[in-house]
Amino acid sequence: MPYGIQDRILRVNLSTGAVSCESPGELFYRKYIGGRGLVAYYLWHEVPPQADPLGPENKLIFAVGPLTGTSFLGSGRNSVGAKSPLTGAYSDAEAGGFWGAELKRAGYDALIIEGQSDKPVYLWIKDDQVEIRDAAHLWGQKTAPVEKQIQKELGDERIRVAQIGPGGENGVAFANICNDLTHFYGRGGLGAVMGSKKLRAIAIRGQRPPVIAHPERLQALVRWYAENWESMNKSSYEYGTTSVVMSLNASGGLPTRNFQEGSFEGAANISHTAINEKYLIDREGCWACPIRCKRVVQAHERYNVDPIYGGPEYETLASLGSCCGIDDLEAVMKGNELCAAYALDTISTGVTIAWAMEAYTRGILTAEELDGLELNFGNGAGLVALIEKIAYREGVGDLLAQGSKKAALQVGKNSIEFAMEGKGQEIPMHEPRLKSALSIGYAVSPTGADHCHAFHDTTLVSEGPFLENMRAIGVRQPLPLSDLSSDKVYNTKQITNWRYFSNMAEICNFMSWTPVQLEEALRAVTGWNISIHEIMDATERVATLCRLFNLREGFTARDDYLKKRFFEPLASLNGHALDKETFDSALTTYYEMMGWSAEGVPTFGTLARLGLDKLPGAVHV
Amino acid sequence: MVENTVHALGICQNYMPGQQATLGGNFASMAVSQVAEQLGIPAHAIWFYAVGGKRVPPDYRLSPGEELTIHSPVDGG
Repeated sequence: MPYGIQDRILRVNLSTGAVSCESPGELFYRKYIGGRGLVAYYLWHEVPPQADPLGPENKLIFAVGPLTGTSFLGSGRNSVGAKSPLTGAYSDAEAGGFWGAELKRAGYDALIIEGQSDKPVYLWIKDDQVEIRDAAHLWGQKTAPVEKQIQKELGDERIRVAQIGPGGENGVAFANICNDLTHFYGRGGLGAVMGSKKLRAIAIRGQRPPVIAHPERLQALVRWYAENWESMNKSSYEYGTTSVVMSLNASGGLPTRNFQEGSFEGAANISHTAINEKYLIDREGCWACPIRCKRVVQAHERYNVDPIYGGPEYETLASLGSCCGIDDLEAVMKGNELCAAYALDTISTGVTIAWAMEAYTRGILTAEELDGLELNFGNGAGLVALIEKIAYREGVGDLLAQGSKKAALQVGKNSIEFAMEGKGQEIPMHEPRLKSALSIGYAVSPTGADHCHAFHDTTLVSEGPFLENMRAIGVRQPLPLSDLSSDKVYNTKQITNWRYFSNMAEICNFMSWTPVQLEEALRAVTGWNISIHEIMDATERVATLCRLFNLREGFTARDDYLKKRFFEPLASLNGHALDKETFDSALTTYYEMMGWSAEGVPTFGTLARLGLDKLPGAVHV
Repeated sequence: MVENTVHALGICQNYMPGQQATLGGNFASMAVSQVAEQLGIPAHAIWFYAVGGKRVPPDYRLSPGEELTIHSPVDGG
């Protein structure tokens, strides 16, 4: 009997109604570990090249990790993946909450959704019982009433629900999937994939927890963190990630007015203290985590903000706030509520609207073309109105629902220059002119620009416990923020691969577990004699598999670009700009370190080293 | 005497007395790095210092009433 994993993959075909279960065997998990690794494996093997992201050939894969559903602290995350309608590339997204643990405890490591239903349905999974149920009465509604209705008709409030909203139903290219209403598989438009399958929700209740190989060793780790979490994570409890607004603003790297500026005069109005003093009414957390870093806010003045949808974290405060030049916190919180209720990615929503604001400011889009909106930067009411229009693809919302890149290409007039995206996915709220390694991270991420996949230089600028811990995965020395030498590229590669591991084992990045502790956790749960060396090999295997998927779709090194704006001076950083030649050289070095050619194609030796050389159709040089 | 206010963000808060995010005290004429040291915040936990929202060097000396914010390294969020 395997430990930690369930060795069961559930497969549901919505075209035929067929339900099946398969066991890939323990060695499979040893090679791909879980989460993002399973997503990459099944997308490569089962989604045919050039498949329509919104067609029946695309597959939607939910996957957990070996630690999911155990008592290990910070293990409440899981991955979802598919070919992205936003980028046309590989995509996965991760979220916390309780849904992933429930899937694992229902007895599954992954759920693969195939085909397309011809009418709205939802899926009900209770251990071995799997049922496709009618969802016509749920279609078109916001997320909160749908969750309540599903729990009511199934007669159990403990049921966990992952679902799309009207955004996914209407094919918004950056629609997301939520679970428990406030946890989001945010990026890549996976909600639109689920919507194309007419699958509104997946409800789960599980009562078959995984068996742990060495419970006493796992418990020792859990006890240590539970006794020490306040000394490591008190600020996460108090402010979540919201204090990042003021730190990045003071540093000169807060994305402002579509990345044209790096400091925002209204930052204090959307800060952690502004939220806590007036609007914070509660905090929420995830499975097996004592920290409760999630915000719950409420407002009644200029906007009614419903606390059932939680509250904004840093990425949302910046993307709907400073990036759009908006310092009206209630408008930002209302925007967050609407994005949650309609299940839209707040980063892509904010950056796409920021593009429209810049286009309006430059006279490229007129008020008439914007349904009468005078869309200057700072227009909070305009932001709220546009989110509604995007969710239902009404008026100009239909243009913006494609995301900034496709909208810019449709509008023309060189507006693509200031569509702030990578591979078609909107840039998150971290400025690569401040944290230079992000330039490489944004460019090479298979999903398009993503802050959770990349190395943030700020964490490794000086000696200290973090660097000492990261030496276990090969990081060698602290380096300045602006450095893009081969030493920085090496740190970037190692940390980026380690972040793959976080999303394969499904561990929250905000926890302070060290690589050595995570290695021990994996050994304790699975009983495997696994080492950090074997883990790092697995991360590189999955990174290369994602690369192969994109190469098969026609992506090339030319798609590993960084927008021109980042090579222009940023006044708030004393005029600092990234140097194009240095960036190009660093990118080539990264390819070489990954065992890829100058064109970004893996060598045969790389595939052989990672056990990928026998994959049918895998390109190599 | 007009007191100074010190804010500690991110992991810097974890080292503050009582793990408070904010505290008051008379730190006038002290360098901001000395203030951090006196409060027990180790150098590796500090990204930079800001006074009145503007970045200042570690040897910046506080005047009475000034507000100091000690910023920790910012990761993805």
